[in-house]
Amino acid sequence: MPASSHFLVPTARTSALFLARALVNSTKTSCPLTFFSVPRQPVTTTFHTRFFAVSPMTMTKPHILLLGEIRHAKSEWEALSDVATLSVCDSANREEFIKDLKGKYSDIVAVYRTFPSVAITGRFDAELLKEFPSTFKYICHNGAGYDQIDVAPCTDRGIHISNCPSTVDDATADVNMFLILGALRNFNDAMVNLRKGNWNAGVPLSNDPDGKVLGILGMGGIGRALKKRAEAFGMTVQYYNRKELSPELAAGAKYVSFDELLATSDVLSLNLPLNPNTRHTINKEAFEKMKDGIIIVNTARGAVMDEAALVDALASGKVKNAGLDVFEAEPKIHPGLMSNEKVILLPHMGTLTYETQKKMEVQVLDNIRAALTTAKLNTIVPEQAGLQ
Amino acid sequence: MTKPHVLLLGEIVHAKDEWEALSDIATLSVCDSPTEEDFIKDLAGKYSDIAAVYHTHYSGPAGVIDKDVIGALPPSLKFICHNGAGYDMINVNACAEKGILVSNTPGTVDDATADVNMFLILGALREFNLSMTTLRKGNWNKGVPLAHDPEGKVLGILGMGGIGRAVKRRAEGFGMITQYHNRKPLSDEMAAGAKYVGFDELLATSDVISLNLPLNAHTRHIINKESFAKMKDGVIITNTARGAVIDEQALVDALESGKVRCAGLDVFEAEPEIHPGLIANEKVILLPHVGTRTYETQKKMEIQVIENVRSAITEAKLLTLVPEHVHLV
Repeated sequence: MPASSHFLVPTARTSALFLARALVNSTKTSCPLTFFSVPRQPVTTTFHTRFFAVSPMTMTKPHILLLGEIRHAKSEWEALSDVATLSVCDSANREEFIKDLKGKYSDIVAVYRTFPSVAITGRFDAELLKEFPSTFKYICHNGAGYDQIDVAPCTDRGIHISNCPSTVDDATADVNMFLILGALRNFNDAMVNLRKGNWNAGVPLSNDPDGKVLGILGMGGIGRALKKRAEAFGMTVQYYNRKELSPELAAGAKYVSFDELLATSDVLSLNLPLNPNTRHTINKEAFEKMKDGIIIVNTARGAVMDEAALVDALASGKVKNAGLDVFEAEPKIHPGLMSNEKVILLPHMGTLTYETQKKMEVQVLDNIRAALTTAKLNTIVPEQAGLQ
Repeated sequence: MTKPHVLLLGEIVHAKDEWEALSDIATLSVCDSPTEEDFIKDLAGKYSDIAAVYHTHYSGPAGVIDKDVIGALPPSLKFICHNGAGYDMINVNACAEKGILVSNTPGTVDDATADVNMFLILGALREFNLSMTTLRKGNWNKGVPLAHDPEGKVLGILGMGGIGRAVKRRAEGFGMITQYHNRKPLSDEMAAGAKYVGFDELLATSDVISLNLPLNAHTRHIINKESFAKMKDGVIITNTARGAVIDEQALVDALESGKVRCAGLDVFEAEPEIHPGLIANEKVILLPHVGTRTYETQKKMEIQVIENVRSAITEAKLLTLVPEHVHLV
């Protein structure tokens, strides 16, 4: 049996020693491969459970499951069949999915999951995660925001998660800048007025972005991509982030405290992830600290802001206008926003372009390939960065 | 020694103090003629000694300065200082023949207009009008197709004046590559890396075409059925210049055929009337000529006109002469 041919499947990054240790220490079977001569060494649990070489006896490839759809990178998905057995989840709902996890999906190693697939499986919470087989190690998520997944129970179970940073940056920042312009310039009012046949009758003057202070809450890839755009419109950028950025990354943006960001920004852009710490970061108390007539823009997650408090702040004039791509309970939107013709609202269009959707799908597939062949994700989520 | 007489045609909203301050060097009047006919009469009466006019494109008398109005202007009138970058409503040739010089407001309009322009480019590339409308109908993003990123796309700017160059700076922040066509190629410094191409090449090779040229006899309907035929399939068109540089019917036809995938327009041929084919199209993103309608920019423009008036009165020269009159001084 040409066992050695199996072990050429992993990428070149996998060291021969790495392979040999797995072989020698595998509990599956004794292996006839003897050209490596390595001392027997105890293997750490992490190492043993991370590595998925093909089994020398059964020649089975790791089983991976697609939750949701791949629309643009179909050939890249199919190409994974050189290192994995591919299944597309056909469970009708969460209950059936849980059954299938004990049945036909009981040996899966990784999932490719999409944002819309939550409609089938529900959130990846502790309740669902405990139903996954012990073989299961990787959740490769298509999206920058992964708040549909509870990270702590994954970490507890040795499940690692990747998301899609950077591929989302430009498209999301484009939406973000569109909303900043739309809110500062009152364009929704103007567009609606025109479509009603009233041209610009009654449409008041608005404000230029030039010279205004843009406060970015969350200076990750999207926040930094936004800064670049905003500066082309003459805006001055300041930011608050968990940690101050290096001067190189900050590229001239001023680091301020959260309270100073609220108090001194003319436009506040929300570009932070949603997690238990950031839910309702922008709430009634936060609005009180802001400048009168501030503009609010959100392309992150609806729930980083208390939507009812935003509606109140718009009604009082504390917030002059808002541009939103995300909502707390989307697709439901607070009626106080729907009835407001000044606010400019998009239905979570952040990355919905052919070019970006393809880039993201490829990024997820690359993460899967990396996980299977090197036992490391390319873009593991920040909370788990220390685990690899 | 009487001070020169300056007449305001229209309203000053933001720079009232600066206008009043002109009274140190001029006598100021605000036109109160009820009709065009009355105004023509007044030009022979109470306005017969005016030296300069602060002109706005308003709905009152001489909002449009045509040959009839020019014919009635008194010989003392030497300067028309217009509030607006576009001055197609003033017959500048007839003014020149009568020895009247005209100024407009370049520069001050650039940023605000380019902001609208970039909003329309994004809105058209990303087809945001459809998604905004779908949301407002209560349908979230149901049926809304994927669209396209600006990154890496070629933006063709027709008319590389102050506004065109301001659009380029913004577009580059979104990863677009800029090329332009202009009456004359710009210096390397002004072009700042944008490639100069012939008109036909601009049409044939641009993914997005932005119209940033003035309206005059040469540029009317410069974008017409023949132009559309030369463009890439699925091109995006944006216009913040003047509606009539595009044949609006031809645009509607091109949208229908898919030659033009989407359009973003702030101006229309017969505004405030809009071709019904555009109103019926939920993808196109339409604004009602809001180009410079901000407090900050409106004030800057008013001050620029007032400064032109001051220069006209005190030094007999305008600061921002329209291009057609530059050779006259």
